[in-house]
Amino acid sequence: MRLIGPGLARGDVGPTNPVTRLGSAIRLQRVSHWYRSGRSRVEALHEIDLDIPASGYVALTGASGAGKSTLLSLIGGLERPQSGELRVGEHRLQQLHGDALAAYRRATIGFVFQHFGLIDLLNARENVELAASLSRSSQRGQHAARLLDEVGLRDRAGHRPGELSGGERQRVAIARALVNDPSVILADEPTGNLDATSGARVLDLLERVHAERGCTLLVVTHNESVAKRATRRYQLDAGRLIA
Amino acid sequence: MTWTDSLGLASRSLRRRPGRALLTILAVALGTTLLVALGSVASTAGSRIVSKLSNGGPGTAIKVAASQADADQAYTDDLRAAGSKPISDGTIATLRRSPQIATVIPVMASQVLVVPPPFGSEAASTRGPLAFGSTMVGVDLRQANNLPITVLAGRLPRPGSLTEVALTESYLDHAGQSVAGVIGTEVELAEPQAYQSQTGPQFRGRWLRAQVVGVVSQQVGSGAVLVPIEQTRLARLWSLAGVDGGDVLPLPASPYSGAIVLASSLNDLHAARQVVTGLGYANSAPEHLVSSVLRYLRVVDIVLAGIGTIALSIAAMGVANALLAAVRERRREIGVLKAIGARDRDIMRWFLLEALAVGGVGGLLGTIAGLLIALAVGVSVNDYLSQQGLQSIQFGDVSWPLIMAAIAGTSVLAVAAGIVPAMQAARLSPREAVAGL
Repeated sequence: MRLIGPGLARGDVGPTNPVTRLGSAIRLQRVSHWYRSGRSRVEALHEIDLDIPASGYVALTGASGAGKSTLLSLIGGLERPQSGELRVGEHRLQQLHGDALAAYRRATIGFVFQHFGLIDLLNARENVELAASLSRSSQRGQHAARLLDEVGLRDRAGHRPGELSGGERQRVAIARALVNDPSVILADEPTGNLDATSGARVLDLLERVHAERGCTLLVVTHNESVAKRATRRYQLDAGRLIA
Repeated sequence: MTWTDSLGLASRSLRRRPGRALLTILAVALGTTLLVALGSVASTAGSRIVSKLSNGGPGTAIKVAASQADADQAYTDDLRAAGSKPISDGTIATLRRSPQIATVIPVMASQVLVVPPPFGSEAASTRGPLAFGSTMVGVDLRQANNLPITVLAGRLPRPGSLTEVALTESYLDHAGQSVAGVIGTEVELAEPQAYQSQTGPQFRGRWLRAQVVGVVSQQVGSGAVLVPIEQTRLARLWSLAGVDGGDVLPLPASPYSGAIVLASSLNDLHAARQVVTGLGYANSAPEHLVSSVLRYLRVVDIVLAGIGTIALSIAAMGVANALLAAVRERRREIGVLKAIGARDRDIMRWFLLEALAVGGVGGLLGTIAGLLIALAVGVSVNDYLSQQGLQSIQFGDVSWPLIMAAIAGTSVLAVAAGIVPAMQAARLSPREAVAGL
């Protein structure tokens, strides 16, 4: 496995140090979720039971419309399940609302999107700093610079997303996802918009983050080779967990 | 997210669409320009009209005569005199104690012989008391701004000066002299005193030479010369020191020939007049006329404010429309921000600061433009007035409260216009906003 840039550090945790913290365990019990489309109800997830251990590395696969992204958005606190129980670490997500849900997303979750989700108005460093500013981090400038250095983009910190390659943008997105030190990283097709080489680098980086920081890593993918790299994989079909 | 971060994001968002930002700012600026220009012109014109009705003085001025008021005095703006009634220092003090009265400026007139300018001209050949047939009007010129005096040329004499005078327009008309020809010349004045000679009472003058520093139109008191009150006090003392003690000349019994009473406000004008009338003094003030004109001016103000408000409302809709477009355009960014932990109020603050920036900048530009337009209108109006031989109007006074109110008002209006789009942005479901990311 080829690492990109120098080793990742969180506090005194270095690549040779043992992981000092476990990521959050994720537990879903009979979780169902549906959307309204006119008068009809479209079931996106049907009574999902799922356990992901703390610091686990899980791949979630399935065809388009199987419910992968919905499951990811429920775990990420972008919406709340309509039935069942969903716990991430000590958080019971169906009980979180408004600011509490935002605080959960800010402190617990790091999102990595297929299309990067960077703010075009801001350069790479500012994108990372913005996420840090949401948690009122006092040394956000230094923190952002260090993370960009760690993902190998020190020299590209002043560039806007439009001036970066796809792989570079995804690494900025990973640096942003890490800036608030999350215990869970949710990656939705993180290599889906990249060529094979860039995709492999990004995946390497995510795995290194997972290994060194001990955070739980959940990757949604269509790509078999990506899914195979996870320690555990689940498959969704029409909103049901089939494997 | 800190306020600084939100402001930075708002500022960059505006710069991303410079054309749209510029047009929105221009819309706000145009609305503000219209409101400020109309407000400024209407305010100046209103003040000028009230001032004109008050003969150049403040609209709150009441002219009090040393005369007894007749029974109908309370029902008319005009002076209704019915015999003399002295105005003493005690009267002045009594008037000053009234809460509806802001200040009282006594007027002292004295008879005088005026040798017309330039210096060296011949005095009239009339002899006896009739030689002193002109009147010198003295007032405290430190309060000139509160008096119905309009400077037509030059300036007023310095307060307390015994060597400077201003001639009145009426004197120049009677003497057949031009305004431009008398400024800077010297005039000779003789204040009369009776003395006893072998052939009986005779009159002599206390002569003085004074520089003509200005020409005025004034309603303080009828007379040829306007001087500081110190000059007329000396003249009266000189006359009283004569052998007759003022009986031959004869001197008026009242120390003061009149007074200008200023009410505390236009609303207090009626009550202040009642105080003066209650003391029995004949007086005049354009009370009913000013009141009536003010009502019309109020209607004009409402109409102009309505026009300005419509313009600002259109600008506010422009702000709202631009922000709604921005919300649609930035759905993905809003979703990303929420996904990484931004609260609803962080998103709202982003959009509201953007609205505030548009309102503030537009308000500032519009206020400046409005004042410049008011100034340009003033120049054009003054050109016309000058051609008509009328006194010019003072335009272009920078009213800081108006400027602050305009900028603050447009900023608040823009923020208010931004509330709905900002709420729409804040309530955007992050799941829907990041769909496809």
